[in-house]
Amino acid sequence: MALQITPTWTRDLMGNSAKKRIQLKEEHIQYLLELPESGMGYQIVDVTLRDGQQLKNRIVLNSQFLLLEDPESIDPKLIEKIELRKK
Amino acid sequence: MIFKAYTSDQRQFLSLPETGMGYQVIEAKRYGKTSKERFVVYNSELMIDLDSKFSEFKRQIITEGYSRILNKAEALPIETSTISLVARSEITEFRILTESKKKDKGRHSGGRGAADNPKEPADGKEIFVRLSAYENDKRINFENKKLRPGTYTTTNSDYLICVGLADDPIDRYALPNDEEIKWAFSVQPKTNDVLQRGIVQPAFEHDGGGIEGYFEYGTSNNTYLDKRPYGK
Repeated sequence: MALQITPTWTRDLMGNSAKKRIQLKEEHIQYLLELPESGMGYQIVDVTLRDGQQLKNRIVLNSQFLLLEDPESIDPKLIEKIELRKK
Repeated sequence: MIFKAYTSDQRQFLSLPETGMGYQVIEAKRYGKTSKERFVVYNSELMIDLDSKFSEFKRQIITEGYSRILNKAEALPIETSTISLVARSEITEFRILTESKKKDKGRHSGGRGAADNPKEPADGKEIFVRLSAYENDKRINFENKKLRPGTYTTTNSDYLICVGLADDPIDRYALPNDEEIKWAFSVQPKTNDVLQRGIVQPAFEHDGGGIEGYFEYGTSNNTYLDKRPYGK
């Protein structure tokens, strides 16, 4: 897994750590903005990294933030392709 | 217990429809057993016994993380030919909205999600609201004051019920993140705009039950009205 970026964490109303997220590259944001949402405020996608690794069924918020699973840490620059998953 | 599915079983799961977004409820026979057992299958690869400890296992996945659990899970030998999907109507363990939540919070149950319902023209008067954690919500085209194609909203009336009854919008609209909803963007589609209306289906451990409006083609220019802090 590619390591580099320190992800930000989303927090729930109790202040507990929730899911961490990374901001996608602008080109991916613009690409996702052209695609439909899966629900209010999110899209479900499959992500392909440059090394061929695939991350399936992932959530992107606001067409902008990819939620990661613990202990993942992904450099957005290493994301090759993002595809929308059909609901 | 939590198990990993063998590749051959994963292929079989992939050939079956989902029970809900991202999961399937299936029955299958373990090798050496005479009767079938029920499992919840996530992403066609992780299998969880659907028994009295299911909630505990589910919490474990949330706590430890899906990837970590998948990595350490043992593969479960089942007879691939015995795998079958369990009909939703037969899943008594399925989470359903309690009567109290329906009554106290004005939630709806059953029905279908907006994308599964027929299209209808907007009446030019009804207001829809998009809830967001982000002030710069990217699905709103602020320049042309409209929604981008493929955007979800709720109705203003459902939003007001959510606020008025102090409901949790994250649970009501089954949102995948726990970020606080801070903004409400109002939109008044024109009569030439088209939408689909439905009930938010349970997902991401949330009950749903709010009303959702889906704009496959977005809305016309100048339909975006304003942005307000959530609940104001």
